Amino acid sequence: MTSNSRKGYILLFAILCFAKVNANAQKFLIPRTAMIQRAGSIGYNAFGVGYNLFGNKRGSLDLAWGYVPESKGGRQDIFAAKFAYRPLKIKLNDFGMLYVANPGVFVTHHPGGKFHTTLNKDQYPAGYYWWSSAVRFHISASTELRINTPKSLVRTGVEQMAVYSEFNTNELYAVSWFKNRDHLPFRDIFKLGFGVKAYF
Amino acid sequence: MKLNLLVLSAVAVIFSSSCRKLEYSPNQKFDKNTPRNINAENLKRIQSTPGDDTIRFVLSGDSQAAYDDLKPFVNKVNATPGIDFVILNGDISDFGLLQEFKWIESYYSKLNAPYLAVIGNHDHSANGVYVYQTMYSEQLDFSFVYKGVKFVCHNTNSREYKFNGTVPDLNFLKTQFQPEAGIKGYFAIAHVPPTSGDFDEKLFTDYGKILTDNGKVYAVLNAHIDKETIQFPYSPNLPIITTNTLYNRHFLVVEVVNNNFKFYDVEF
Repeated sequence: MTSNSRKGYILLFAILCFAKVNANAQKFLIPRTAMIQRAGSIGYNAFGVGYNLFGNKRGSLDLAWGYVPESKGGRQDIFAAKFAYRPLKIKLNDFGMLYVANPGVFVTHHPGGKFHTTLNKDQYPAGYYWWSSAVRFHISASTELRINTPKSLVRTGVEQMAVYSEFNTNELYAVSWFKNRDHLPFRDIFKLGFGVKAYF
Repeated sequence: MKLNLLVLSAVAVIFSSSCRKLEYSPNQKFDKNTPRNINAENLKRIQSTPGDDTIRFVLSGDSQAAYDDLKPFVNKVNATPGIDFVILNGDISDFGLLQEFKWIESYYSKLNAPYLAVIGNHDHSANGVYVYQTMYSEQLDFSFVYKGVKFVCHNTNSREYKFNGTVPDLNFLKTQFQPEAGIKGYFAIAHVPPTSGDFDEKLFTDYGKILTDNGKVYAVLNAHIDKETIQFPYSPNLPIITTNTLYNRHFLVVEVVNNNFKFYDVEF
């Protein structure tokens, strides 16, 4: 991780922990969900916390840190901010809820010296490479099964547990596909991940 | 019972096809299915191919984001008789991503002739150099001898190293272009031509001197500038040749017959 991005993340963490905010805002800052995800382009394993948006448990914002171990593709960290909306739900009696197809967007930051956010002006003429190798923009579609926690376990604070799978692609894969629609199959640009999530 | 089996096998098929879709990061340096050491494997194939005295190879370049053009490219090359090997002369990928390298490889691996890849400037983006090293060659500078001709493939992407004077590696080139007994001629193969602004201008003169001092270099073969050109900046006897991009549906066929060098453009 470059020292600049490390400083940025430490600062963000400090603000979240120590900012003098009023009680409402503090309540707002308390995460409502916790997740662990495997793959899905945000790490071999990723750990995150999340917030409900719009007050109806259909919108969510997850903030996650993921890592790839050396043996699984070269050591790297990934920070992700994931937004998703759940328009379709199917109630499964008292068992839980199935959110069938949930569109989302997420942005990932890939820290490290090999990745640039903006081009080094001393090294490259303006516009030499149009993209940033450190930041990826993704679109996603997930399916989520939420299971109601048995009453005996409600006092643990976990209201619901969920499992989900999620397909995503990023803007560079999308551009590659767009330029090559005759031979590059659309499905080839989508990558899969899955995870579990706890709702408090 | 039958239904259970059907469901089970359907789940197994979905699961196994899903596993190939798992991606930990677009910047993974490799995954479970990444082909490795392609250059070394293909060099063995090149060396073990019996043939006549003629050397005939394809110079292709800038396969970046040209997936739609690669199938016709492969068909055209496979239909061309007597091709000993194919050079993919850099900018394999556009963004330095593993997925791009794998897409390109899925086409090039369908060539009947073995192919070798040389690194380009775009391949230096993100973890592209690591991907190149995993899939093609740990060394970015390498050489081989085929039918008495030496091919010196090297990294000329100076801008990616902030023009720090180490790329191209003149010491490597001095050693490689020392006249040797049994070598009747040489090719210098690299992505960025020495006449480009992306080549370290501090090294321009010494680079040319190494090649002209050798006296037996047929040509410098480059890509990068997206058009076919021939220039003689160092000596009338040393052509600097660039191949057009695959995106523009061109490649060059290069031949050495009886120590005479010639080349021609192929449109597909």
